[in-house]
Amino acid sequence: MSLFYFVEVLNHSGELQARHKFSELPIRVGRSYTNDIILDDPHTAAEHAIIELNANGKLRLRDLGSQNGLKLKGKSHSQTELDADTIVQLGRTLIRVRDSQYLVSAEVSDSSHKHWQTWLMFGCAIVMICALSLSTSWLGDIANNKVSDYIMDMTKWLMSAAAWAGIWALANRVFSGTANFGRHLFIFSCGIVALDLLDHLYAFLGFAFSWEWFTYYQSHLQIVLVAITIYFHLRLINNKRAMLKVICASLAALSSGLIFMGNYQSTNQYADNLYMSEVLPPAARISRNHSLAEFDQAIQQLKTDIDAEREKALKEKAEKNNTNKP
Amino acid sequence: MTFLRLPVLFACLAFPAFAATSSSTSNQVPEDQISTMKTQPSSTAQELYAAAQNDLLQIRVLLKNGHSQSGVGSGFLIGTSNLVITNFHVISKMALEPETYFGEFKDTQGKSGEIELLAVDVLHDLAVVRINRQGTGFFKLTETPAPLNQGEHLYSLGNPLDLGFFISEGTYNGLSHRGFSEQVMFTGPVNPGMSGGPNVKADGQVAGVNVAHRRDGELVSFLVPATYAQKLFARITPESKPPADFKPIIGEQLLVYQSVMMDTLLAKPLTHKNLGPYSVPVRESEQVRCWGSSDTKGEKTYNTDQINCRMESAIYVSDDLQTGNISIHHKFTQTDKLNSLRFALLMGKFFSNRVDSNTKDEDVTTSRCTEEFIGNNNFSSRAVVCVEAYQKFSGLYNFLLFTTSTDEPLMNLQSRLVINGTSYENGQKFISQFLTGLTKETKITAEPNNTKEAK
Repeated sequence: MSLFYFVEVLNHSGELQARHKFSELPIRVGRSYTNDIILDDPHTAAEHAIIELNANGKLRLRDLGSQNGLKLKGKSHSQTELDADTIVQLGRTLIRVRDSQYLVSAEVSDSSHKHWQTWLMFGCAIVMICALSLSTSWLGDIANNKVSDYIMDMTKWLMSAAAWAGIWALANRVFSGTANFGRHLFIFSCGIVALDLLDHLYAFLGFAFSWEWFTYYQSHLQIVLVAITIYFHLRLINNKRAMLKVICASLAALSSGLIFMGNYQSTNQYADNLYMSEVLPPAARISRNHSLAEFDQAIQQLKTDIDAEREKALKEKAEKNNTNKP
Repeated sequence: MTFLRLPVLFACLAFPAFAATSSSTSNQVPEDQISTMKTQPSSTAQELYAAAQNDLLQIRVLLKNGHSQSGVGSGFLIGTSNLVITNFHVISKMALEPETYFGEFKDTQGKSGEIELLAVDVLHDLAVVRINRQGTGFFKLTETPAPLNQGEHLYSLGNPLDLGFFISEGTYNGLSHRGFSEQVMFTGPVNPGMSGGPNVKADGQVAGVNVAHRRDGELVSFLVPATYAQKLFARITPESKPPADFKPIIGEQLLVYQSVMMDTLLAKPLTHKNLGPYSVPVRESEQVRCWGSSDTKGEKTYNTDQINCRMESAIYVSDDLQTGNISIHHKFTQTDKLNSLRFALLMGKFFSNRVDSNTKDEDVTTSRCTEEFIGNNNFSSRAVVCVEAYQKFSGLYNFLLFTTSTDEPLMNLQSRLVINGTSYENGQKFISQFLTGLTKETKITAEPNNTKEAK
């Protein structure tokens, strides 16, 4: 069996753009029309490089005196040995050389992305969004709304969901060919339902057990949920999971940090709220009530806090005045 | 009530009952009657102005940087001294920010000169400044002024709206006890810029110092009684030196005031009013007025009854800081159309955004709050107390208490108590009394109907 050599030109995401088949070496690469592979990259020389066998019988790429040279992981080389996974940069072009003995990875089973699954997800998403919209409108209905009001509300929810999923589907279509609208809609509806349930959960925990601090930092839990939702959207578009996790986690950390900063700027405290405003029916109260004397004690303790706050404010002001003076 | 200093115009307190009558009565005055009033000034006023004009001054507060004026009021020389009485609110910027502001006077001849702030009385809104010339002796302050009779003619002098020196005639109408320090009620025009100007009898005997007028009324003006001016004036000797920093003095005066105010408010136990099954504490007195309102519109799924009690006076410290007052608010809501969950969520909305805390505030610190579910006999509620400390004056705090009841599924009582400018101890005491006063009748919970949820 004769040996063939394949020179593959890749784009910057590592995807294949062109593949050239050769039966013999050397292969000349460059911009001029005397080459075996002609590059359309102005950052390459007319005769840029040559692919040949070295003394050990291995494939080698050698620079022919170009200005920009060869780069391997950002480092310049005058020549480099090539194996099947080495990607070399010539000017701004990436190439990889493999021969016909290269072993490809195992076949991936086609169990995912089945047609019926997509429709099931789409249906589930619609049901979840409708249910959420109805429950939210019903809970907030204090003016004896008619059925038409509920339907109008539901339409708004569905349209927003479609807009959100549509943007992701468009991105999906652009970057990986298929739109996956149903799946994006499903991811969105799961995310929004989780957010809503979380909302009720910490209202309940706060009210029932007097765990106010749940409501103080609610925005950070919400950010985590939003980050998870976005992670799943991105994962559907692109499979580089580890990187997406890092990106989503760092975006979430950044948003949390910004919220902490904003809260501190406006109230000198990191909490979102100065107190818990959630009220639920009396039946939801589980922890005990405190006596007036205990509350009076708490007010007494508050004096230390507020006096410290005043000290801090005065100190900051004094420092500011000092720095303002030349 | 509006203070009479340019260019800052204070918003008047909302006062629906008065606002409605004032517009109708003013329209009923015939045009010709007004013109005769204007064209025939009494000869007394003419003579009085001629005699007083040498001792009448305009007091201006200017920015050190740029010498532009930031506030204008009036003042007058006492006897033959070089001391001038004016309002505290006219020169408050000089007292609080002497590094930024300075003051000067301008007399009726247009001559001007520097003023030196010697003493302040924040509670009665008075100040004494020293200038570089003597008075002619026209304005007289006596220790025991002759009592005034209702309807007696009085004359207010000053420089309203920075237009020029005015004299206006009116009548004495007794004393107002709406604040914790009494004020003379004067029926005559007193306009912004006349603050600190004298109000005298025809013989030059000072009756009071122009201080405020009611914006929602017609010619309802207020004077600081002459006796307080006399007391402040008597404290000053020719050797008196201006204090280096007025802030501790003002803080001290505010502390004295709050103890008088809180002692008066707490002297008697709070009165109780009924809202549904709840009994709520209010303080109704000469100083604190209560108003009720109810909202029972047919299309609503709930109805509310409210009681709103408020002091009509406050101590002016600066444009951004008026203090020394309290307010009480109760809001009772009930429903027969909502179920308990939806009703509770609605009450949660009513209960939110009650604290406005801002690090940018120059006068007070940001709020610090404490909250708890509390039970008092058979009444249970959630209570939040937030406190702010005054930055410039130590020992003074603003208290905010708000509660929502948590014992009835289809009824709710939300109460709010605001105490501005009090010592920590007094604030705590008032809150404790207020919370003790929030109670519920026992028999209501025994009825099975009320514990069922409406569909």
